[in-house]
Amino acid sequence: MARPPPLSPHLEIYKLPLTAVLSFSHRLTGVMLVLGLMMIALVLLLAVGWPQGFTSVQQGLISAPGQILFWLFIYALFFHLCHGVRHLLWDSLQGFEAHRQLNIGVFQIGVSIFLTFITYTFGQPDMAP
Amino acid sequence: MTKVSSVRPRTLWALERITALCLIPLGLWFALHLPRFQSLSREAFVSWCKEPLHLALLAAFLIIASLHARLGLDTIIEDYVSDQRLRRHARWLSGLLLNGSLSMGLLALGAMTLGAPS
Repeated sequence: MARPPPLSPHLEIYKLPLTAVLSFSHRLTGVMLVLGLMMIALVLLLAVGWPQGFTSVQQGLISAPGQILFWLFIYALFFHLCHGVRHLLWDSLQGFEAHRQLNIGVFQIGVSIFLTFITYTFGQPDMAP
Repeated sequence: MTKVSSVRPRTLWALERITALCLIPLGLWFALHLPRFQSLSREAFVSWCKEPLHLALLAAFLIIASLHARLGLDTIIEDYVSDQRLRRHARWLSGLLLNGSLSMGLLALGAMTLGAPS
């Protein structure tokens, strides 16, 4: 039986640099945020036209899976925002040096986690209308 | 809304950056308020949205985020969908969904302003 022809290595065998992982994650979080944006528009509409629907969404949101999705959305927002700032820096031809790429990547992840933590700590209920 | 694919690439590039810049303060403002909405009653939520400053910022956030999302999705579709026909359909669908949700959001804010029950 003839042996199958040899294959070139697939991309999966290479360890992607952090910059590439962050770039892909930027797109992924962007898609997540689009879904969130649609959800926000829906919640606004429910608040005006369908009170029961608004309550159902709110109850879903405070359940355990709802909370996980909610905080993933918040983190995705901050991650996308931080990486977006990095893109703007790149557009001004800053931060391309090899030694700075990794540092900026790690810094960006740190800032997005910090912002999520701040939001979790200080952004919780009890807001005056 | 003008078809995104008919706009010059340089304009799209600039528009993506301008919307990104606008979304830095708007996104931060929105993200910091978002957790509080979880516990607000519908009436309190509508009252909050009806505040003139909140209404203006929410409308700006919805419009600019939708435009930014449209530009971003178009880039993703262009990069990952090679079949021209499928690409056209994907663009059409993303435009439909984003324009639809934007209209829905703005309609809701308009109804709140015009005195929908709060």
